[in-house]
Amino acid sequence: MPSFFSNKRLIVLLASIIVLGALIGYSIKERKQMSWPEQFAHDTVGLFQYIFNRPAHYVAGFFGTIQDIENTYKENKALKESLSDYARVKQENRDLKHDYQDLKKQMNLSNMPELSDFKKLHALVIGRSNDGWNQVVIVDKGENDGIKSDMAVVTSDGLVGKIGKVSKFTSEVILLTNMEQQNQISAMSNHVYGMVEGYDSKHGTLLFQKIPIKSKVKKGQIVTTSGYSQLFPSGLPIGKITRITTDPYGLTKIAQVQPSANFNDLNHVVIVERSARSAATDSGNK
Amino acid sequence: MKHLKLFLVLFLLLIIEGSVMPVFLPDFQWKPIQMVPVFVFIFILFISFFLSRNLSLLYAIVFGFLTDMVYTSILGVYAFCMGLTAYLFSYLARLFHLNLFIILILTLLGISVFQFEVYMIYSLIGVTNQSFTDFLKWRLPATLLLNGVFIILFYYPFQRLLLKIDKSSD
Repeated sequence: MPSFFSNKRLIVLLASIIVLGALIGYSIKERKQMSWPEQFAHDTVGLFQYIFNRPAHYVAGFFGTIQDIENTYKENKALKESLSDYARVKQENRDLKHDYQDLKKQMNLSNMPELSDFKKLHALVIGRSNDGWNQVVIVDKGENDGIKSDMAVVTSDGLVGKIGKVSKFTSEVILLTNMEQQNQISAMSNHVYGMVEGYDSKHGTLLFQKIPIKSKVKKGQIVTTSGYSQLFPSGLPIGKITRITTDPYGLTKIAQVQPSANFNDLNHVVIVERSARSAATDSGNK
Repeated sequence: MKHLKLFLVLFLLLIIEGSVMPVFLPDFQWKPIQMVPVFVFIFILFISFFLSRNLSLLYAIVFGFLTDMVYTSILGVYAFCMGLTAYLFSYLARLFHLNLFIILILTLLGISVFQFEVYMIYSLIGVTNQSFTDFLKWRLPATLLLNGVFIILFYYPFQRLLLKIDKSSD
């Protein structure tokens, strides 16, 4: 190939590398809103994704059902064991709630929403970034359904991520396993506070960082959101602590958290809008 | 007509890649195996083998950019890598007499080069921190296996379609 590296080709190659650099620079900064070509592409592709994704789930669901039937006996046994406590706990919960509401009324706080209160918006996962590097899924609810950037996204097992960019009819969810746009989530475990940020892809664990060095965190404790961040309600389960180390400077502890949600098998998700007001939502309303 | 047919096939493959395959792919939970379907890129390589180089370059950029917009958060990476690789491999393909075996080898080589390019750019800007040994050990073999099966299954339908389009445009 003698003529392959001709001047014209080299110039085109260099120009495209410059364009690539500019595009990466444009897209790497944090954006809440998509530009209109992106919105158009997202919404158009989203429609077809929905059409193709549903039948695929039905077919996969059929095989899943066969597997489920095999597991039913085992699960039934385990469920029966845990059910024996259920009635007692339910009654206790009801009494406590009643007491709590009474006390709150006495203090004239009954109109304040709790940090843990939230509105639920159900959404279906219609697409997923397939390259394994971009940990992004696409859901079928968008701006028109009241979805905003940075809302928490959960499954029945626990927190999976937050909403990234939003278009009219679809929006993308940045999973907790994403490397590039790391979620920073204010979290707590047994009233010990810290931040969940970063993902250890080798162990498949999230990193619960900035825990005070003297605090007593133990293996097996459950980590939940604290509600002190701007948009997440409190009490959403994140995962279980599997290992505790100290940071390189010995000033804080770092715990590895096995996430309770399965990021590989996402189908139905719930987008969570918290009812309590925060500085961010207040300034947004003005 | 030619463009409409090619666009529809590529669009269908794009949807299958992102919305159908993740449902059916085996779930390697917490194991580092990554099996990545790159069906759009395979068809673009086929266009560069059987139709024309410029057409494949055009579609590589259009569908690379669509992949970037819909499935990733960084624009331009897939468009650039798909375009470059398809262009290079259209030259490479002229050195051989094309049959199923040669096409299979060339396409798998193309996928490896393409994945490597995307990997380089992504590790440069911090989208992934996968180590190069993990990339070679866990990602590449599984990806080549999946896409190799796809090529063998769809070689004859794709070839027939492309040759028919080629004939009708003459």
